[in-house]
Amino acid sequence: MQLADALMTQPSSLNDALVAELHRHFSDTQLAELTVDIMKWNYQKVSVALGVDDEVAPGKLTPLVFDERGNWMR
Amino acid sequence: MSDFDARAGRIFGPDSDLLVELTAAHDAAAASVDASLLDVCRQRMAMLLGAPIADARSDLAAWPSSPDYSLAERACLAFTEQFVIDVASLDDDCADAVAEHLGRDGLAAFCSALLVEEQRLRLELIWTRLGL
Repeated sequence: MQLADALMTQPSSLNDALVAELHRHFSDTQLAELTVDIMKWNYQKVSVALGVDDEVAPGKLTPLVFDERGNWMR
Repeated sequence: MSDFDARAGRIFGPDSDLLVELTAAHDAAAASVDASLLDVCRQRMAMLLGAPIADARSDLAAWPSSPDYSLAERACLAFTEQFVIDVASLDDDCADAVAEHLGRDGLAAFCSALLVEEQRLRLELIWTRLGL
């Protein structure tokens, strides 16, 4: 979560302790894949920027459902 | 091949599907927007994110008061700043100002191109921080 926060706000703000902690839990390849997986959700910025990000269910939370490959099912 | 693509190739492998997709997205972005316009906005995004910039325009941080930026550049730079800092605060006036110069389709293309450039900048920064 802290990695996601840093990536979405100020990537250079990731502190040394967190970097070390991440490397304790994940390999370099896993970390790289995590960063790309997090960044792909940034696509929503285009809809927000263009003002076309209507709520799926106005006034309600929208459940996110994923298929067996991890792809979001609309 | 760009530095980003070379780095992504080293991390994920030169023949990875991901590298192909990342490169294709960047090529599509570059083809959809005026190159110099996108470049100045990319430079501004890099400044805001604290990324190193090569050949940055020396007066870019002062673009609001500099006479050297066109109306189109000003509209796009204002949009770019909001896009990076707080996209949810982007208002219609800011988007309309860009559309006035690029058209509605051009605004959408510009927005998508900004996303691609921003993603690359953020990934490069985080990969550097992670030592990848």
